Amino acid sequence: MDREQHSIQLEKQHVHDVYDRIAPHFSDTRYKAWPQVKQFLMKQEPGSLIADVGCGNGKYLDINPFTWKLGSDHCNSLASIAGSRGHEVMVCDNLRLPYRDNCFDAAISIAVVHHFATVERRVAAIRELARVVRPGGQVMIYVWALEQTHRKFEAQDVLVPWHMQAHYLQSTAHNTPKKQKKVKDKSKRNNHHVQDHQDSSRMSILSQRPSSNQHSHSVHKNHSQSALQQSSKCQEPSKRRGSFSILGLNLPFAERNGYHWNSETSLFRSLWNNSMEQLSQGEDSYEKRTATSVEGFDHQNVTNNKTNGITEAYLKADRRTRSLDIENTEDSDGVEVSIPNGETRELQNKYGSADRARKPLEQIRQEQEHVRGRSHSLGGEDISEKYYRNHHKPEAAPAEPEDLSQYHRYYHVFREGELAGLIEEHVENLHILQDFYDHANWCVIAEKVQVWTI
Amino acid sequence: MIALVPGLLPTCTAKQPQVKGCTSGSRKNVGCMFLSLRTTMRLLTHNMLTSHVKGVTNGYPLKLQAENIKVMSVDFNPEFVARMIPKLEWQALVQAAESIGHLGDLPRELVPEYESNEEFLKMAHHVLMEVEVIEGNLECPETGRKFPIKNGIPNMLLNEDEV
Repeated sequence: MDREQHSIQLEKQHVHDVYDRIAPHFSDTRYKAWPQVKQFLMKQEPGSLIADVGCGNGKYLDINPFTWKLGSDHCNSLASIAGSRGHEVMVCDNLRLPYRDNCFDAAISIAVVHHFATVERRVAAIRELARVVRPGGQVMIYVWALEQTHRKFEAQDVLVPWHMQAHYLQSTAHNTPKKQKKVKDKSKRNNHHVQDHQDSSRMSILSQRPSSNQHSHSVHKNHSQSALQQSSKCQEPSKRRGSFSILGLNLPFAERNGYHWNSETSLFRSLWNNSMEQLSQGEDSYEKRTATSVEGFDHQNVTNNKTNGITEAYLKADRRTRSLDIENTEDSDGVEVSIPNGETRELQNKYGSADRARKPLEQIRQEQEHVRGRSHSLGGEDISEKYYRNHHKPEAAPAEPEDLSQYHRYYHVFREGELAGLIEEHVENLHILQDFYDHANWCVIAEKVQVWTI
Repeated sequence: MIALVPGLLPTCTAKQPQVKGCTSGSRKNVGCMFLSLRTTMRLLTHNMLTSHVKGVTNGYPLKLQAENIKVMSVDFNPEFVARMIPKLEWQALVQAAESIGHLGDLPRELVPEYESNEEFLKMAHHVLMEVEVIEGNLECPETGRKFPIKNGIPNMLLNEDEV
């Protein structure tokens, strides 16, 4: 299989298929519009036509009612959810948008481009956005950043687990995008405590963690059942949210800080107990405490390609524990947060800063191969070759439904300047207006310009 | 640049169309407050769509074949419609509306000074916003490839050999 085919397969297995499985749960965690995106949409002129490519459940499609928005997603389940909310949506591929040239006044691509597994495909996705926007129209792109305060990535190409809640697992088994007891009234939501999105996934971790000792999938099965029982005890959503609001718990503490101790259950338990004690003392004291505890990681230079001893140990340890430590929600700023926990598998280091000069893609790719050759982890191997050899024997039988790897999404997390660099170098008709960091994401706003070729 | 329609009030009162009177949600499996809204594809959307099959040079407009059409009342907002019209391929709209039998009295050619012609804008509004395709196909005029519309959602994904 060539590189392109590998990428397609990787994206299918770890982007498209995962979103199909997690769609109802995912949708329930995505309802707060990110402020900067909202602002971008609000400033579009009345009567604008806007494409939301990768619209998910359509949370941006009802912003700015003076415009007409057309949503699209590769995931049929998510498109259906968006459609059921009265939005105009379709199922299509970002790499082949079925829109005529220059027909939109603006386009947004929020948390989409980071799901493409090669630099060529990321560029192609952005070029498609540029193609469908008229000259003078604007494109907003958000991608997940490598540089994050509370998360450390071992590489730019990672698999990030999604923690499927038990009752969603059940509904998935029935193969219906059912949202059980999760009816969310928007007005209620708006009036609700700002932290109400500290939602179910954390609750489930709260209820699961102390008793968990996951070292295998079979354990996870039992675990899911117990989680199911526990979640049924506290099924009433407002109660759950209320409890979090009262606690004033701003940090997803177990996920954000606890995941380093995954393999050390006893250590985790003691930390857990301490954390629980800390809750009543407020978040400041809690943060201080845990920050000290994870010093070894926080002080690590994330942009360093070399894996040091600590992170190697961390990876090794965490590979034994295939679960949890996942955050499915949005953080307090409304920005998507997912944590690359122990299951963050290293695939490659592929985009060196030396690639910033204007070069043809092929040349960049070759240079990346070279960079990879020097890096510690993957040699000159192809991202997906490596991945498949290590994790998925092609001839192996399909994974069991409980296999947590089914819920791992592939991300290419972007380095500082990488997104803007890609556009400057390879998308001639986009002129960058803004390039900024917004809560764990790199964001670019660019205007389409007329390119004259002689 | 798309020229803005002259004569518009600075405070545009356009609203995103809301489907009225629709009570039978076809997607009952999605429990949410929008249950009463059904997913549909409007002709405004069709106007933006083109065939993206590999090698196609003349893929616009897609032929529209509708098996299930609903006509819903949507708030009429003349400014909104007037601003949409310059973004449209008028002939494609006429063709699509005609193919599903909903052209009505819509003129085949864009009338001059349409932005102040409320009667015209109402007809355009009806065709653009109120005629909804629930089930059907979009067919590439060059290759004949059909893209299904199910539950109001066109599936425009291509097979591997089409990209």
